[in-house]
Amino acid sequence: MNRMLYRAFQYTLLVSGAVIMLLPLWWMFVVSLETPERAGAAVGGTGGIALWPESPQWLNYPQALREMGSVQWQGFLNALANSIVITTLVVIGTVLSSSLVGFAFARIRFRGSRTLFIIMLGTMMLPGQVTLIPLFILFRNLGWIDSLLPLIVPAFFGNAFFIFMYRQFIAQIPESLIEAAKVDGYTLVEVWWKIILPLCKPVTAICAVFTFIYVWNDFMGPLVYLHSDEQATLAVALNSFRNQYGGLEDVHLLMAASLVTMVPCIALFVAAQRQFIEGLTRGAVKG
Amino acid sequence: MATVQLRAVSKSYGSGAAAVKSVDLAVADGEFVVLVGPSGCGKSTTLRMIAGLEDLTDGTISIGERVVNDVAPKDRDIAMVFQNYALYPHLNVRQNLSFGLERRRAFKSRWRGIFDSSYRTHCRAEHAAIVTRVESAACTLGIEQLLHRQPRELSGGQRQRVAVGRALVRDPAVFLFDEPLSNLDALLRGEMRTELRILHRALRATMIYVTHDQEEAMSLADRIVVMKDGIVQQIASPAEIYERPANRFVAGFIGTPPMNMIDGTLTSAADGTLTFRAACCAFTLPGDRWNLTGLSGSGARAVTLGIRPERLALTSDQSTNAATLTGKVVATERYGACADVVFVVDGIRLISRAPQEQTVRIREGDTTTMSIDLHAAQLFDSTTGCAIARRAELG
Repeated sequence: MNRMLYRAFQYTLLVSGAVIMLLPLWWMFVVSLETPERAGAAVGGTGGIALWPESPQWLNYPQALREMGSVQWQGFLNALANSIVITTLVVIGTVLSSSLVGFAFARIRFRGSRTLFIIMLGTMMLPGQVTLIPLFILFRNLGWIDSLLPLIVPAFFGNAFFIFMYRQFIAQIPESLIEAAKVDGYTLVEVWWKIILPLCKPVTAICAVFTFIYVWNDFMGPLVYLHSDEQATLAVALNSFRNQYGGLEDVHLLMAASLVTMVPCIALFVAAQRQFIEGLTRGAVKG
Repeated sequence: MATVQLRAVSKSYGSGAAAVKSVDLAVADGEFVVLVGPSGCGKSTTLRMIAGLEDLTDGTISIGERVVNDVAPKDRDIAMVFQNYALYPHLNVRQNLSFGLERRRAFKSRWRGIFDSSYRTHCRAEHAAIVTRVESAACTLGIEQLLHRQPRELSGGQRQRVAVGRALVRDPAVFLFDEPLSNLDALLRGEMRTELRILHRALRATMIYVTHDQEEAMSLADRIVVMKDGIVQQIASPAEIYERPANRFVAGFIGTPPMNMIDGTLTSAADGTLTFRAACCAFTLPGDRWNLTGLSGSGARAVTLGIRPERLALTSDQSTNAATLTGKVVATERYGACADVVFVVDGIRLISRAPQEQTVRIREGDTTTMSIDLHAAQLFDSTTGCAIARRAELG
């Protein structure tokens, strides 16, 4: 009996926590389906908040996407394409470079590797804003400003946090697997590609999901390096949209556009959830 | 198949600690050599140097006619079976077996196959050859029904078979085994030992095997290399190592239970008679059997007399005899077919191994008499620990 009560208490606590966390998202969704008047009243505080709109306005969504950017539909589609290109390449670059460097730190003995590793960890303490101006000057001198390159290329040089994660994970893979592959005739790079990467799936899932969410939602980077409308990402396009339709009378469109930009992140998390949770808990359960 | 030759091979680490000290070893073509010794004796390091997974500090290693010191593991024509099997967890058994062969394919580009039909033909023929080799190896080891399984779905014994299979498909010049059976339970270990022996007979391949289990070494080897602290103590056949250990360490390490050791002194009379005296006993030894160069007529030399437990026989004869010992039984350990009787003579603990039927009446606390087969006894110099050579061995 006590056990059941304890269970009931646990579930109540968890469900209330989940409801509190999801409430703003639900509210966004509801407002995005309201008529302009009711949405404005709800956001402005003059109207109540309904759990479900009286007459859901599903056409708010195509309207919001059509209005994004200066040319109808074009602005949204451009931004979507840019976001997809940048995010995909950055995810690939981060996974490949971080796992390769993590493998080297974990398994290749070379003079100074420890010092290099500590220096690499030290870079995690540096806020991104500190290097923003030097990096901007560097990319300007390379002629990369207003192209996607400054957002993509650095990802192929590793990410300190993910290198650390890969290194810790790879250090737990038995050395004999690597030695067996060496005896089988594989080079170290082949060992990394054919053995280490497939075995690092849980870390790769975390690395990919975190990087995806960060890059997809990144506003600062694209704002600094991309100037023209054609190069804008969804985050930048959404901000322009907010400037254009930020009034209370258009808040339903803003909510609809915001929700659409969030969908890929949520979908990815749901798809990769199992691997993701496994990767996060693995280190905690077994050292 | 090939010979393996180690000449003055040494390995030391950055801290100056020497793991292997000047090892000389010649493994004949088709021979099964077992390196055995306690943990940290350098046996695995020696094997890893042969495999090319560790660099040598000094000396040379040859496989066949070729010195392989600077040759990468993949080019040494060796296959290695690891202690923890080292099966790739993300590949099934078939892929694990063919992993090494896939690397060696000459025609493996899928893209070229699309446009070049002769390339495609070669590619298919090569693939078929790999499939045949994998299936033949699986058949030899009785794992053909496991080919589609993942390593995590296999038992310890099956994993071990797959690990051996992975070496087998490669058809290497030399097989290297690094304690491959130590993760298995005792029963399975025994079975796998027999299978390995049968496999060696069938392949007549050169095999070098590392273990810390002397029983495994005795049952598998054509020749055993006993190592301690990075130094080879003795290289000989299992029978010779057992009957004529080179020193006290080998005598104590090989054999279960270990050899009984009685410290004492040896004196030689003018007529050549040898007398061994210890706190618990005094025996006259057959004087013509040992080469005691340097032992003066009246001087006594500190020696240790070693006697295998099965050479200490239980006897009902209580009469005073130079080759008997009387002591108190402190423990009996029965194994079914035989039993070990532990008894104490003047503070020295000795073990006798006898057939079960001879020991049924013996109880702990009894006083019993044992007779020693002095012809099978070993003498060791107490100072150096080295065996005192027998005359017959010198000839």
